[in-house]
Amino acid sequence: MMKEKGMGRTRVGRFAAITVPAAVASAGLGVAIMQGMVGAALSSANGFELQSDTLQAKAVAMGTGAIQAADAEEVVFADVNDAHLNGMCVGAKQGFGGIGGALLSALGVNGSGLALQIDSADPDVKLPDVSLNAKELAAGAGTTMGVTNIGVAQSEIENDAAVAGNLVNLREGNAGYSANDFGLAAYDSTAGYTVDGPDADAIPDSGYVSDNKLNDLSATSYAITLQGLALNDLKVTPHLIPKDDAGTGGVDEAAEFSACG
Amino acid sequence: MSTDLIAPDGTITATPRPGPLRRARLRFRRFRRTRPFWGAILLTAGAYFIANPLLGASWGFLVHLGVKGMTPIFLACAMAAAAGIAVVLPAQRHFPAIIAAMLSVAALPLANLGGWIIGTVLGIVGSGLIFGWAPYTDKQLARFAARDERRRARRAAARQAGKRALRDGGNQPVVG
Repeated sequence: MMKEKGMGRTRVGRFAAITVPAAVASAGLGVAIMQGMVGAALSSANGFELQSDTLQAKAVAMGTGAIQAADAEEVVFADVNDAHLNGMCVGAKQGFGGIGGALLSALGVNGSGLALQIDSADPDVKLPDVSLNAKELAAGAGTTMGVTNIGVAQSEIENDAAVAGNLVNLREGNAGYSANDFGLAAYDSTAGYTVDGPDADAIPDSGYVSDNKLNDLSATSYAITLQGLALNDLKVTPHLIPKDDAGTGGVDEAAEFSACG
Repeated sequence: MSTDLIAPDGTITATPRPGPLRRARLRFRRFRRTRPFWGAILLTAGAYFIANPLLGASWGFLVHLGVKGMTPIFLACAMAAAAGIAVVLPAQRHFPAIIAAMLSVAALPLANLGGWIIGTVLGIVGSGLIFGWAPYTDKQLARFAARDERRRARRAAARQAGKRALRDGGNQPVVG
């Protein structure tokens, strides 16, 4: 092979000089995120899934709003203080349209995207402060709320949310907060760990009990800020989003795909 | 670069002009080898993965999400720009590569866990490849040229020996 001036090669030592510190730093950050020392911000135009068997929290505030854009979409803002989740699944999806989709088919991958299922079976995932900007937020049978104030004016909900004991602040936590309709704030002053160990009826293995209890929580979220997340037992499973027969662009298929099952 | 054939007796025969496809391939190969090409490709892919969840979004949606929602786009743009500099101006590759590696790490908490981890990994490897790339020094080039010269001489000698053997009857063993 003819070597000319200007041609070059990769030097292993220099490669390592960049990649090794960066890899160490990201591993450290990953651990810090999981232990709650560093908050993680997630945002996606397609929305990602967030599911949990049970969410119990000291204070909950929710408000509805709309994106003031051409295609106005309703959104739910939620802010939760001192939340404890029994198991958690975050389904993150990467739909590939355009160049990405073409590359994927060129590589012979018969899929329209990639989904990551981030699971934790920890019965007591601690989330001191979560702010959610969601397309949809649903809770199943057995959901209870403590002292609840329904229909809080949006100017009030972020300022005092009197009932929620000032623990939640929709405006501060939420990206692009613009609630304009209905608001709800609930607070349980007695929420906390039961003295005599796990409450078998509430959540097995977790001693945390609150009147604010959302069962079978499932949300499709546009943006979420996880502050002080603390969990054990993390599992990451990649999925290939299958191409459907209709072949309607990768992004739409990804939006419909459910990674958490 | 000369692709002309030099016959053992010193006459130079021009190689037939290669077809357009082969010419394009050779030009692309030269382009690849004169800059940190693969590193830039990986870094761009990393940027794509980091921005991808927001690529389909309308401007209104981005405004709605506010600065937190736009962070992935900012990070991805900066990483793609670093890759672009590495391709267009290979001499200035070091600083963009360092910045891109830092941004890849920063994307982990700031942008969808670094494009669901894939973006961060591709970004780090890509910027490492860009930083690690170095053009050959004059000394090395001289060494390569000397080696090529030795090989050519050896091949020519072998060809001469083969011809001599044929002329001498072809049934004698070739010595040397």
